[in-house]
Amino acid sequence: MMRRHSKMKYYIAAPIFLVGFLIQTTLSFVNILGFFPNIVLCLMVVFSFLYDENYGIILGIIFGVLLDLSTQQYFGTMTLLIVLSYVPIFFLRHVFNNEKVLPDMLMSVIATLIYAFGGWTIHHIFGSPVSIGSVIDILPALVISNAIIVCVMHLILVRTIIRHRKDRSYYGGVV
Amino acid sequence: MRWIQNHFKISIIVAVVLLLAIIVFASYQLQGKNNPIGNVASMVVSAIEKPFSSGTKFLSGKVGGLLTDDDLEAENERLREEVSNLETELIKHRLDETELTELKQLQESLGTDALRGSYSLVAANVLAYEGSDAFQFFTIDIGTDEGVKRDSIVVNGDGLIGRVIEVNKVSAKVVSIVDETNKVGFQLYRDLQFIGVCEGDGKGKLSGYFLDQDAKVRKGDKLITSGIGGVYPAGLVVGKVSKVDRADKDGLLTVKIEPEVYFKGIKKVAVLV
Repeated sequence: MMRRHSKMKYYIAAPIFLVGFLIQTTLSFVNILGFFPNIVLCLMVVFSFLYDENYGIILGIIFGVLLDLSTQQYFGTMTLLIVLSYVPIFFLRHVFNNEKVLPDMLMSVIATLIYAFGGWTIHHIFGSPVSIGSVIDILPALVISNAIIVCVMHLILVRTIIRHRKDRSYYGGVV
Repeated sequence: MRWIQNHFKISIIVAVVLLLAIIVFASYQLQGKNNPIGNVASMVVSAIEKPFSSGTKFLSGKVGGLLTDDDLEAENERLREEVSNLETELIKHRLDETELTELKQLQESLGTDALRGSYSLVAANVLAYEGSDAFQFFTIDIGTDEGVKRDSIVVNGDGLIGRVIEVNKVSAKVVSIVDETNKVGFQLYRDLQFIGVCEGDGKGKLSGYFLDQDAKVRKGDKLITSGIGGVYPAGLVVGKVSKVDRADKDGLLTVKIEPEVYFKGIKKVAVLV
């Protein structure tokens, strides 16, 4: 399986995460359909899948900590969920061709499921009355919206790993 | 050891997961305790979010304004402000009246902390929302500088929203009553002698029971806080009865309650200090 490599720079990736974090925390009141996608999680998925360096998980942890400080009832919850969501990506990303968007969307589905059920489990253990039914109710919409964001971000960022996508004989010097 | 060397990345992931699990558990155990480092970090995050939050609200108002007439929008805004002020006044009156009359006797007889003196209301904007959608936590832009404390009560014009679970100098985290692990004492607004207890039903609403099985309650009845339990003061609107079940297996008169507050999309709140 051919896997393309390219370096993403922290000073490019970090502002993208920052914007995602600010949108997620301050714009969630626009949840017309009763849900709001988890943008930081989506960015972690895309960056972890596309790049072999650890940008995705390192920035995911940093912004997970910020989310914990900003909105979470128990500190560490969001960071833990982000790391747990990263585990399947870590094992599966080398199995897939990273220039394809569908595997990336599959990763986002798996990550969203881990995030949603993991979050419920943590809160349930600590006595939250929220039922698993309410998590399942919003899950389809959350999975779809996260997958769409991952798809869009993938299509934007894939240009950084494949500079001439339409040129089948161009490999950027790396195979 | 050899395995760790051979699987270095996996070992790091496992270590990070275990460390974070310990941190989450410690956070649960230490919730509400004074944590200077956490407070400073939360203040920094709030400072970053504040201008962005104001900006997004301003922009969402402008986008909404594009679709409506400017004069109409201004008039609507003025009326909304007026309604909000009147509802705030109403909450104050409800608190004063209920506390000073009906619950005085209840407090004396039950020895509760229902009556804690008069409150003043401090307005606050919602700064950030918890992103998972199933849970109703949010952060507001006032903190101890404005007199907010842990367990300060948060309301809006519609009624009771929740309580402060964590606070620093400039912001505070709020948990809604539907996510609350504490039970909320309520009483029937129409007949204050009937009291009960409710909690989140796990689906964004509330369920509870009356202590008196013969309470004359019907669908649509308004419920207000009773003050019993000491966390929530008496007189705040909790919600309306949406279902009455007189044949509970424990012999209790159980009710389903529709909260008056629409928790998703709250932008402005008031804190009782």
